[in-house]
Amino acid sequence: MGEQAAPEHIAGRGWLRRLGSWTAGRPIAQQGAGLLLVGLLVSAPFGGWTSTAPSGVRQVEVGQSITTGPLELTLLEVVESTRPSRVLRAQAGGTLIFVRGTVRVTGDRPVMLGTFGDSLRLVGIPGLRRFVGLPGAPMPADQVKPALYYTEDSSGMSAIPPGMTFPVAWVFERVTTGEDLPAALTVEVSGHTWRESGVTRGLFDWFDPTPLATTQLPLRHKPPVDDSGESSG
Amino acid sequence: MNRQRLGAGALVLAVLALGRVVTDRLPDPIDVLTATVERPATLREPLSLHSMDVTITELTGAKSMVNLGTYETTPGVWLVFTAQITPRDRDLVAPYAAIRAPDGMTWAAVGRSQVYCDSAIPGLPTQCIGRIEVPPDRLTGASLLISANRNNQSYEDMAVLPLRVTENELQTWLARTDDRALALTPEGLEP
Repeated sequence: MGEQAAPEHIAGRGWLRRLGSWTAGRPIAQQGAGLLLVGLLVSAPFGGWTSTAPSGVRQVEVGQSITTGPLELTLLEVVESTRPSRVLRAQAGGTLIFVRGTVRVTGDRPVMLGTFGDSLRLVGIPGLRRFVGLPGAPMPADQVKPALYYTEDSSGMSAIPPGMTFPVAWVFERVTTGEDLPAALTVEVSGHTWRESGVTRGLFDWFDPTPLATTQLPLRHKPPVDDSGESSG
Repeated sequence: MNRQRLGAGALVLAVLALGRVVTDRLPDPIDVLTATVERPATLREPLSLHSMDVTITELTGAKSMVNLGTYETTPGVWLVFTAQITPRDRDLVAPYAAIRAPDGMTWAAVGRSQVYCDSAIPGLPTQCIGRIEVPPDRLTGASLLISANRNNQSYEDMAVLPLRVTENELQTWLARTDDRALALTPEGLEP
């Protein structure tokens, strides 16, 4: 009569039992290291031990000051218009959407477009594109960087000098989609971290834009102005 | 024997630590080599720099102005200057200009603040005009800085002109506004 093989599930338990007794015989340091290794392997499909997404995004009120690191912002409203001033007009078939507020540099040097362009996004608005005065394809809203304008004279700002508070508009362009905008829009503000560049030794700057706050701003429609600067609506 | 080895090891570590402390306290040789040398300037007097000769010829200011046909105002004050620059050995591409307060806060000619020069040929004098927006309350004790290269002031020297703006001058500048009728943008983005 030949030796009968154990059923599969019994054989599996035997393997586990042998692993258990082998592990129990290892020194405590090896047991700890093994546990660490198993933990790392198990966590790998979920991103391992990389830092998790920031959960500290806070909701702020209209007009409440937000400090992003390089900048101090207040956001007041969102305005939609095809031609909000003489020098600013949307491309045919589009409208300009701009977030009105104020901005002030917190440090003692100008903050450049490369940094403040990442400070603000409109959330969930389809059909947005960058406002560059040329036709262009819409992009996902979280990828559309705004242009910044000083509202007193409609001049574009590629740098924000320190020590002064500027009334500004963060300007986006939207391709007409046939869908009306909601009565209130969500704006996401990102903060930056001051650190040394990972590429250039000794170069410190603001890096790592990270969502910091969101706010719900009311939408206002502004009639287009004509060449004399008067609103036609 | 073990005690001797331990002593030698401790000595090596102590010497390494001391070396580190000394190294940290010495200036970085690259910083020393590339540091910008500042040279005091006087209004309307020529100053010879490494890459150019410069004479700052005029200083004034305004609350708003028409720039290349466009009306531009500021929450601060526009400081406007003219300078004659003669590049020495190479073309003048874009000079650096800035206002620096005594505490180090600096307003460089970037963004809306700009410097324009007529031409940039070595040996020929060129006229430059610059405008920099600054908070009016930071002009006391501030200086105007001009250097040859907007992108990099390393290995260069820099003209430093104390502004010495009086309160009367400042109030005159703050009251000065170009005629908005001349501007192309009489209406901003405000309602």
